[in-house]
Amino acid sequence: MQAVRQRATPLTAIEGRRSPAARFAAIVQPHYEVLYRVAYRLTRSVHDAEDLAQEVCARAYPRLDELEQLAQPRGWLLRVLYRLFVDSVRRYERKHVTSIDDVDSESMVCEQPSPADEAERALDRRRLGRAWQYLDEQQRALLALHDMEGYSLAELNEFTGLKEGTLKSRLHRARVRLGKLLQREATVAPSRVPLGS
Amino acid sequence: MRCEDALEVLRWSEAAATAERRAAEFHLAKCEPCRLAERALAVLDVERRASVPRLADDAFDRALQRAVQRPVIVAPSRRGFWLGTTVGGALAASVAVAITLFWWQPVTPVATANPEVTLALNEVREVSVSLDSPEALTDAEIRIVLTGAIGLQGFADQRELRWVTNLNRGVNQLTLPLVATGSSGGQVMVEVQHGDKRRTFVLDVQTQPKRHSAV
Repeated sequence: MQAVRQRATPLTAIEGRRSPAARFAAIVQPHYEVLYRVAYRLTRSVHDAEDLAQEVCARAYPRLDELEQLAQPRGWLLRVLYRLFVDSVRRYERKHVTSIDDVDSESMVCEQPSPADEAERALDRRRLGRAWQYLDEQQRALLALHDMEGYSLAELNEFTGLKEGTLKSRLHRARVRLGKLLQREATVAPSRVPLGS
Repeated sequence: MRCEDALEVLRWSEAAATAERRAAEFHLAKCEPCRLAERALAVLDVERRASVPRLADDAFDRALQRAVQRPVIVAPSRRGFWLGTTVGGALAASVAVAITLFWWQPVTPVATANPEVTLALNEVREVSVSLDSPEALTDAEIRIVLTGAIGLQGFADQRELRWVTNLNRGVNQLTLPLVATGSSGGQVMVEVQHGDKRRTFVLDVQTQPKRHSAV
Protein backbone atom coordinates (compact mmCIF):
# COMPACT_ATOMS: atom_id res chain seq x y z
CA MET A 1 0.00 0.00 0.00
CA GLN A 2 2.83 2.35 0.66
CA ALA A 3 3.75 2.10 -2.97
CA VAL A 4 0.33 3.39 -3.99
CA ARG A 5 0.79 6.48 -1.94
CA GLN A 6 4.27 6.96 -3.29
CA ARG A 7 2.85 7.00 -6.78
CA ALA A 8 0.42 9.78 -6.04
CA THR A 9 2.01 11.88 -8.79
CA PRO A 10 3.20 9.13 -11.07
CA LEU A 11 3.43 11.05 -14.30
CA THR A 12 4.61 14.38 -13.10
CA ALA A 13 7.67 13.10 -11.36
CA ILE A 14 9.92 13.73 -14.30
CA GLU A 15 12.36 15.88 -12.41
CA GLY A 16 15.37 14.56 -10.67
CA ARG A 17 18.68 13.10 -11.60
CA ARG A 18 17.33 11.08 -14.48
CA SER A 19 13.66 11.43 -15.17
CA PRO A 20 11.46 8.51 -16.18
CA ALA A 21 10.98 10.22 -19.53
CA ALA A 22 14.74 10.33 -20.09
CA ARG A 23 15.11 6.71 -19.01
CA PHE A 24 12.28 5.71 -21.32
CA ALA A 25 13.79 7.63 -24.23
CA ALA A 26 17.16 5.98 -23.69
CA ILE A 27 15.59 2.56 -24.06
CA VAL A 28 12.88 3.09 -26.65
CA GLN A 29 14.16 5.82 -28.97
CA PRO A 30 16.78 3.58 -30.63
CA HIS A 31 13.96 1.23 -31.64
CA TYR A 32 11.35 3.81 -32.55
CA GLU A 33 12.14 3.87 -36.25
CA VAL A 34 11.73 0.08 -36.39
CA LEU A 35 8.40 0.39 -34.59
CA TYR A 36 7.26 2.99 -37.09
CA ARG A 37 8.53 0.97 -40.02
CA VAL A 38 6.70 -2.19 -38.94
CA ALA A 39 3.60 -0.14 -38.11
CA TYR A 40 3.71 1.30 -41.60
CA ARG A 41 3.95 -2.16 -43.13
CA LEU A 42 0.93 -3.21 -41.10
CA THR A 43 -1.26 -0.18 -41.65
CA ARG A 44 0.04 1.07 -45.03
CA SER A 45 -0.59 4.60 -43.85
CA VAL A 46 1.88 7.15 -42.48
CA HIS A 47 -0.72 8.63 -40.18
CA ASP A 48 -1.85 5.30 -38.78
CA ALA A 49 1.71 4.06 -38.45
CA GLU A 50 2.66 7.09 -36.35
CA ASP A 51 -0.46 6.64 -34.26
CA LEU A 52 0.26 2.97 -33.68
CA ALA A 53 3.93 3.55 -32.83
CA GLN A 54 2.93 6.32 -30.43
CA GLU A 55 0.40 4.05 -28.79
CA VAL A 56 3.10 1.45 -28.23
CA CYS A 57 5.04 4.10 -26.32
CA ALA A 58 1.98 5.09 -24.33
CA ARG A 59 1.44 1.46 -23.33
CA ALA A 60 5.11 0.84 -22.62
CA TYR A 61 5.80 3.96 -20.58
CA PRO A 62 3.96 2.82 -17.44
CA ARG A 63 6.03 -0.36 -17.61
CA LEU A 64 9.37 1.39 -17.61
CA ASP A 65 10.65 -0.67 -14.69
CA GLU A 66 9.95 -3.85 -16.62
CA LEU A 67 11.48 -2.46 -19.81
CA GLU A 68 14.68 -1.59 -18.00
CA GLN A 69 15.13 -5.21 -17.02
CA LEU A 70 15.08 -6.44 -20.61
CA ALA A 71 18.23 -7.27 -22.49
CA GLN A 72 16.42 -6.97 -25.85
CA PRO A 73 13.59 -4.46 -25.56
CA ARG A 74 12.92 -4.43 -29.32
CA GLY A 75 11.21 -7.81 -29.27
CA TRP A 76 9.12 -6.74 -26.30
CA LEU A 77 8.07 -3.52 -28.04
CA LEU A 78 7.22 -5.34 -31.25
CA ARG A 79 5.13 -7.79 -29.29
CA VAL A 80 3.17 -4.87 -27.83
CA LEU A 81 2.79 -3.41 -31.32
CA TYR A 82 1.58 -6.72 -32.73
CA ARG A 83 -0.99 -7.14 -29.98
CA LEU A 84 -2.17 -3.56 -30.30
CA PHE A 85 -2.58 -3.95 -34.02
CA VAL A 86 -4.37 -7.28 -33.86
CA ASP A 87 -6.61 -6.16 -31.00
CA SER A 88 -7.39 -2.76 -32.44
CA VAL A 89 -7.40 -3.45 -36.11
CA ARG A 90 -10.70 -1.75 -36.64
CA ARG A 91 -9.19 1.46 -35.39
CA TYR A 92 -6.36 1.22 -37.86
CA GLU A 93 -8.44 -0.21 -40.60
CA ARG A 94 -8.97 2.43 -43.19
CA LYS A 95 -10.12 2.46 -46.68
CA HIS A 96 -6.75 2.02 -48.23
CA VAL A 97 -7.91 2.05 -51.80
CA THR A 98 -5.73 5.09 -52.35
CA SER A 99 -3.25 4.47 -49.56
CA ILE A 100 -0.49 3.78 -51.98
CA ASP A 101 -0.69 7.45 -52.88
CA ASP A 102 0.82 8.21 -49.50
CA VAL A 103 4.08 6.99 -50.90
CA ASP A 104 6.37 9.31 -52.73
CA SER A 105 6.58 7.98 -56.26
CA GLU A 106 10.36 8.40 -56.20
CA SER A 107 10.53 5.84 -53.43
CA MET A 108 8.62 3.21 -55.32
CA VAL A 109 11.67 1.33 -56.55
CA CYS A 110 15.24 1.20 -55.51
CA GLU A 111 16.86 -0.33 -58.56
CA GLN A 112 17.00 0.79 -62.16
CA PRO A 113 14.03 -0.93 -63.77
CA SER A 114 12.81 -0.36 -67.29
CA PRO A 115 9.76 1.91 -67.67
CA ALA A 116 7.63 -1.19 -68.32
CA ASP A 117 8.95 -2.89 -65.18
CA GLU A 118 8.41 0.27 -63.20
CA ALA A 119 4.82 0.53 -64.38
CA GLU A 120 4.26 -3.13 -63.54
CA ARG A 121 5.67 -2.66 -60.07
CA ALA A 122 3.51 0.38 -59.51
CA LEU A 123 0.52 -1.66 -60.59
CA ASP A 124 1.47 -4.47 -58.24
CA ARG A 125 1.76 -2.08 -55.35
CA ARG A 126 -1.62 -0.58 -56.10
CA ARG A 127 -3.16 -4.03 -56.27
CA LEU A 128 -1.46 -4.93 -53.02
CA GLY A 129 -2.88 -1.80 -51.40
CA ARG A 130 -6.38 -2.85 -52.36
CA ALA A 131 -5.92 -6.54 -51.57
CA TRP A 132 -4.38 -5.79 -48.16
CA GLN A 133 -7.64 -4.56 -46.70
CA TYR A 134 -9.29 -7.90 -47.38
CA LEU A 135 -6.78 -9.84 -45.32
CA ASP A 136 -7.52 -10.36 -41.67
CA GLU A 137 -5.36 -8.63 -39.10
CA GLN A 138 -3.23 -11.63 -38.28
CA GLN A 139 -2.58 -12.39 -41.94
CA ARG A 140 -1.43 -8.81 -42.45
CA ALA A 141 0.79 -8.98 -39.41
CA LEU A 142 2.45 -12.24 -40.42
CA LEU A 143 3.05 -11.17 -44.00
CA ALA A 144 4.37 -7.77 -42.97
CA LEU A 145 6.65 -9.07 -40.27
CA HIS A 146 7.98 -12.16 -42.05
CA ASP A 147 7.77 -11.53 -45.77
CA MET A 148 8.41 -7.79 -45.79
CA GLU A 149 10.44 -7.06 -42.67
CA GLY A 150 12.25 -10.38 -42.60
CA TYR A 151 11.60 -11.45 -39.03
CA SER A 152 12.23 -15.14 -38.54
CA LEU A 153 9.68 -17.69 -37.42
CA ALA A 154 11.42 -17.79 -34.04
CA GLU A 155 10.98 -14.04 -33.72
CA LEU A 156 7.36 -14.28 -34.83
CA ASN A 157 6.88 -16.89 -32.14
CA GLU A 158 8.12 -14.33 -29.63
CA PHE A 159 5.78 -11.62 -30.92
CA THR A 160 2.67 -13.70 -31.42
CA GLY A 161 2.98 -16.62 -29.03
CA LEU A 162 2.15 -19.00 -31.89
CA LYS A 163 4.19 -22.15 -32.43
CA GLU A 164 6.43 -22.30 -35.47
CA GLY A 165 4.38 -25.04 -37.14
CA THR A 166 1.24 -22.96 -36.73
CA LEU A 167 3.04 -19.89 -38.02
CA LYS A 168 4.20 -21.74 -41.14
CA SER A 169 0.74 -22.96 -42.02
CA ARG A 170 -0.87 -19.58 -41.30
CA LEU A 171 1.77 -17.81 -43.35
CA HIS A 172 1.07 -20.14 -46.24
CA ARG A 173 -2.67 -19.57 -45.99
CA ALA A 174 -2.10 -15.81 -45.85
CA ARG A 175 0.05 -15.91 -48.97
CA VAL A 176 -2.47 -18.02 -50.84
CA ARG A 177 -5.25 -15.66 -49.88
CA LEU A 178 -3.22 -12.66 -50.91
CA GLY A 179 -2.38 -14.38 -54.20
CA LYS A 180 -6.06 -14.94 -54.89
CA LEU A 181 -6.88 -11.34 -54.04
CA LEU A 182 -4.09 -10.06 -56.29
CA GLN A 183 -5.34 -12.30 -59.08
CA ARG A 184 -8.82 -10.88 -58.65
CA GLU A 185 -7.46 -7.34 -58.65
CA ALA A 186 -5.57 -8.04 -61.84
CA THR A 187 -8.59 -9.45 -63.64
CA VAL A 188 -11.51 -7.37 -62.48
CA ALA A 189 -10.14 -3.92 -62.04
CA PRO A 190 -7.49 -3.05 -64.58
CA SER A 191 -9.36 0.04 -65.68
CA ARG A 192 -9.27 1.48 -62.16
CA VAL A 193 -5.51 1.60 -62.18
CA PRO A 194 -4.06 4.61 -63.90
CA LEU A 195 -0.92 3.61 -65.69
CA GLY A 196 2.24 5.54 -65.19
CA SER A 197 1.27 6.98 -61.82
CA MET B 1 6.58 -32.10 -49.96
CA ARG B 2 4.14 -29.98 -48.00
CA CYS B 3 2.86 -26.70 -49.38
CA GLU B 4 4.28 -24.72 -46.44
CA ASP B 5 7.75 -26.04 -47.22
CA ALA B 6 7.87 -25.84 -51.00
CA LEU B 7 8.13 -22.08 -51.25
CA GLU B 8 10.61 -21.87 -48.42
CA VAL B 9 12.89 -24.27 -50.26
CA LEU B 10 12.64 -22.23 -53.45
CA ARG B 11 13.09 -18.91 -51.67
CA TRP B 12 16.32 -20.13 -50.16
CA SER B 13 17.30 -22.25 -53.14
CA GLU B 14 20.96 -21.38 -52.87
CA ALA B 15 21.09 -23.34 -49.68
CA ALA B 16 18.74 -26.11 -50.68
CA ALA B 17 20.02 -29.42 -52.01
CA THR B 18 19.36 -30.02 -55.69
CA ALA B 19 16.99 -32.91 -55.07
CA GLU B 20 15.04 -30.88 -52.56
CA ARG B 21 14.80 -28.00 -54.97
CA ARG B 22 13.58 -30.24 -57.76
CA ALA B 23 10.95 -31.66 -55.47
CA ALA B 24 9.81 -28.15 -54.59
CA GLU B 25 9.66 -27.16 -58.27
CA PHE B 26 7.67 -30.28 -59.06
CA HIS B 27 5.29 -29.51 -56.24
CA LEU B 28 4.84 -25.94 -57.41
CA ALA B 29 4.16 -27.00 -60.99
CA LYS B 30 1.15 -29.02 -59.93
CA CYS B 31 -0.08 -26.99 -56.96
CA GLU B 32 -2.27 -24.00 -57.81
CA PRO B 33 -2.41 -22.61 -54.23
CA CYS B 34 1.37 -22.62 -54.06
CA ARG B 35 1.57 -20.71 -57.33
CA LEU B 36 -0.80 -18.14 -55.88
CA ALA B 37 1.40 -17.93 -52.79
CA GLU B 38 4.45 -17.51 -55.01
CA ARG B 39 2.75 -14.64 -56.82
CA ALA B 40 1.92 -13.02 -53.48
CA LEU B 41 5.52 -13.34 -52.35
CA ALA B 42 6.74 -11.69 -55.54
CA VAL B 43 4.48 -8.67 -54.94
CA LEU B 44 5.43 -8.52 -51.28
CA ASP B 45 9.06 -8.53 -52.37
CA VAL B 46 8.43 -5.46 -54.53
CA GLU B 47 6.81 -3.81 -51.54
CA ARG B 48 9.67 -4.84 -49.28
CA ARG B 49 12.22 -3.19 -51.53
CA ALA B 50 10.27 0.05 -51.71
CA SER B 51 11.26 2.55 -49.08
CA VAL B 52 9.01 3.42 -46.18
CA PRO B 53 8.08 7.12 -45.96
CA ARG B 54 10.55 8.95 -43.78
CA LEU B 55 9.84 9.34 -40.10
CA ALA B 56 9.50 12.96 -39.01
CA ASP B 57 12.41 14.30 -36.94
CA ASP B 58 10.19 15.07 -33.98
CA ALA B 59 8.21 11.82 -34.16
CA PHE B 60 9.70 10.27 -31.06
CA ASP B 61 9.34 13.49 -29.09
CA ARG B 62 5.64 13.50 -29.91
CA ALA B 63 5.34 9.85 -28.93
CA LEU B 64 7.08 10.52 -25.65
CA GLN B 65 4.86 13.50 -24.96
CA ARG B 66 1.78 11.38 -25.58
CA ALA B 67 3.09 8.67 -23.28
CA VAL B 68 4.04 11.01 -20.45
CA GLN B 69 1.02 13.26 -20.61
CA ARG B 70 -1.68 10.65 -21.00
CA PRO B 71 -3.82 11.43 -18.00
CA VAL B 72 -5.52 8.08 -17.54
CA ILE B 73 -2.43 5.96 -17.57
CA VAL B 74 -0.80 5.28 -14.29
CA ALA B 75 1.57 2.53 -13.52
CA PRO B 76 0.78 0.66 -10.37
CA SER B 77 3.58 -1.82 -10.58
CA ARG B 78 3.73 -5.06 -8.68
CA ARG B 79 4.78 -2.93 -5.76
CA GLY B 80 1.70 -0.78 -6.24
CA PHE B 81 -1.86 -2.01 -6.11
CA TRP B 82 -0.89 -5.62 -6.46
CA LEU B 83 -0.15 -7.38 -3.24
CA GLY B 84 0.60 -10.76 -4.69
CA THR B 85 -1.00 -13.89 -5.89
CA THR B 86 -2.40 -15.17 -2.65
CA VAL B 87 -5.08 -13.76 -0.50
CA GLY B 88 -3.21 -14.44 2.69
CA GLY B 89 -2.22 -11.58 4.93
CA ALA B 90 -5.27 -9.47 4.28
CA LEU B 91 -5.24 -6.17 6.04
CA ALA B 92 -7.38 -5.86 9.10
CA ALA B 93 -9.20 -2.79 7.88
CA SER B 94 -9.81 -4.07 4.42
CA VAL B 95 -12.94 -5.26 2.70
CA ALA B 96 -12.49 -8.17 0.34
CA VAL B 97 -14.30 -8.55 -2.94
CA ALA B 98 -13.68 -11.64 -5.04
CA ILE B 99 -13.91 -11.60 -8.82
CA THR B 100 -13.46 -14.68 -10.95
CA LEU B 101 -12.24 -14.16 -14.47
CA PHE B 102 -13.92 -17.05 -16.21
CA TRP B 103 -14.47 -15.42 -19.56
CA TRP B 104 -17.17 -17.82 -20.62
CA GLN B 105 -19.36 -17.17 -17.62
CA PRO B 106 -22.33 -14.93 -18.33
CA VAL B 107 -22.06 -11.49 -16.86
CA THR B 108 -24.09 -11.32 -13.73
CA PRO B 109 -26.79 -8.68 -13.89
CA VAL B 110 -25.42 -5.59 -12.25
CA ALA B 111 -28.58 -4.62 -10.44
CA THR B 112 -28.83 -7.81 -8.41
CA ALA B 113 -25.34 -8.97 -7.74
CA ASN B 114 -23.05 -6.02 -7.12
CA PRO B 115 -20.88 -6.49 -4.09
CA GLU B 116 -21.16 -3.59 -1.72
CA VAL B 117 -18.98 -1.84 0.85
CA THR B 118 -19.94 0.88 3.28
CA LEU B 119 -17.56 3.66 4.23
CA ALA B 120 -17.83 6.45 6.72
CA LEU B 121 -17.50 9.92 5.24
CA ASN B 122 -13.82 10.73 4.55
CA GLU B 123 -12.77 7.34 5.83
CA VAL B 124 -10.09 5.58 3.82
CA ARG B 125 -10.83 1.89 3.49
CA GLU B 126 -8.63 -0.57 1.72
CA VAL B 127 -10.83 -2.64 -0.50
CA SER B 128 -9.16 -5.81 -1.69
CA VAL B 129 -10.34 -7.05 -5.03
CA SER B 130 -9.24 -10.59 -5.75
CA LEU B 131 -9.05 -11.40 -9.44
CA ASP B 132 -9.12 -15.15 -9.81
CA SER B 133 -7.80 -16.02 -13.22
CA PRO B 134 -7.95 -19.58 -14.56
CA GLU B 135 -4.80 -18.95 -16.57
CA ALA B 136 -1.84 -16.62 -16.67
CA LEU B 137 -2.67 -13.55 -18.74
CA THR B 138 0.06 -11.52 -20.39
CA ASP B 139 -0.63 -7.86 -21.05
CA ALA B 140 -4.07 -7.74 -19.51
CA GLU B 141 -5.46 -4.25 -19.26
CA ILE B 142 -6.96 -3.25 -15.94
CA ARG B 143 -9.27 -0.29 -15.91
CA ILE B 144 -10.76 1.28 -12.80
CA VAL B 145 -13.52 3.85 -13.20
CA LEU B 146 -14.97 5.75 -10.26
CA THR B 147 -18.39 7.36 -10.26
CA GLY B 148 -20.15 9.30 -7.56
CA ALA B 149 -18.76 10.77 -4.37
CA ILE B 150 -15.82 8.48 -3.90
CA GLY B 151 -12.13 8.66 -4.68
CA LEU B 152 -8.86 6.82 -4.45
CA GLN B 153 -6.48 8.14 -1.87
CA GLY B 154 -3.37 9.45 -3.54
CA PHE B 155 -5.05 9.93 -6.90
CA ALA B 156 -6.74 13.20 -6.15
CA ASP B 157 -9.07 13.97 -9.03
CA GLN B 158 -8.53 10.94 -11.21
CA ARG B 159 -11.75 9.18 -12.08
CA GLU B 160 -10.16 6.59 -14.28
CA LEU B 161 -7.00 4.57 -13.93
CA ARG B 162 -5.77 2.19 -16.55
CA TRP B 163 -2.68 0.11 -16.91
CA VAL B 164 -1.38 -3.02 -18.53
CA THR B 165 -0.05 -5.84 -16.41
CA ASN B 166 0.41 -9.56 -16.32
CA LEU B 167 -1.99 -11.62 -14.25
CA ASN B 168 -0.83 -14.81 -12.68
CA ARG B 169 -2.85 -17.96 -12.73
CA GLY B 170 -4.85 -18.05 -9.54
CA VAL B 171 -5.71 -15.18 -7.28
CA ASN B 172 -4.27 -11.76 -8.01
CA GLN B 173 -5.02 -9.28 -5.31
CA LEU B 174 -5.64 -5.63 -6.08
CA THR B 175 -5.99 -3.25 -3.18
CA LEU B 176 -7.76 0.05 -3.69
CA PRO B 177 -7.58 2.73 -1.00
CA LEU B 178 -11.15 3.99 -1.36
CA VAL B 179 -12.37 7.14 0.32
CA ALA B 180 -15.91 8.47 0.53
CA THR B 181 -15.85 12.15 -0.38
CA GLY B 182 -19.57 12.75 -0.06
CA SER B 183 -22.67 11.25 1.43
CA SER B 184 -24.19 9.96 -1.79
CA GLY B 185 -21.82 7.05 -2.28
CA GLY B 186 -20.73 5.81 -5.67
CA GLN B 187 -19.53 2.91 -7.71
CA VAL B 188 -16.21 1.40 -8.67
CA MET B 189 -16.05 -0.34 -12.00
CA VAL B 190 -13.23 -2.82 -12.48
CA GLU B 191 -12.69 -3.92 -16.03
CA VAL B 192 -10.21 -6.55 -17.13
CA GLN B 193 -9.49 -6.90 -20.81
CA HIS B 194 -7.27 -9.47 -22.43
CA GLY B 195 -7.22 -9.61 -26.19
CA ASP B 196 -10.80 -9.44 -27.31
CA LYS B 197 -12.11 -10.74 -24.01
CA ARG B 198 -13.43 -8.36 -21.42
CA ARG B 199 -14.98 -8.73 -18.00
CA THR B 200 -16.51 -5.86 -16.09
CA PHE B 201 -17.47 -5.82 -12.44
CA VAL B 202 -19.12 -3.13 -10.37
CA LEU B 203 -18.68 -2.51 -6.69
CA ASP B 204 -21.27 -0.34 -4.96
CA VAL B 205 -19.97 2.02 -2.32
CA GLN B 206 -22.39 3.31 0.29
CA THR B 207 -21.63 6.11 2.68
CA GLN B 208 -22.53 5.49 6.28
CA PRO B 209 -24.71 8.24 7.72
CA LYS B 210 -23.10 10.20 10.53
CA ARG B 211 -24.14 9.02 13.94
CA HIS B 212 -25.62 11.65 16.17
CA SER B 213 -25.05 11.48 19.89
CA ALA B 214 -28.09 10.96 22.00
CA VAL B 215 -29.05 14.07 23.93
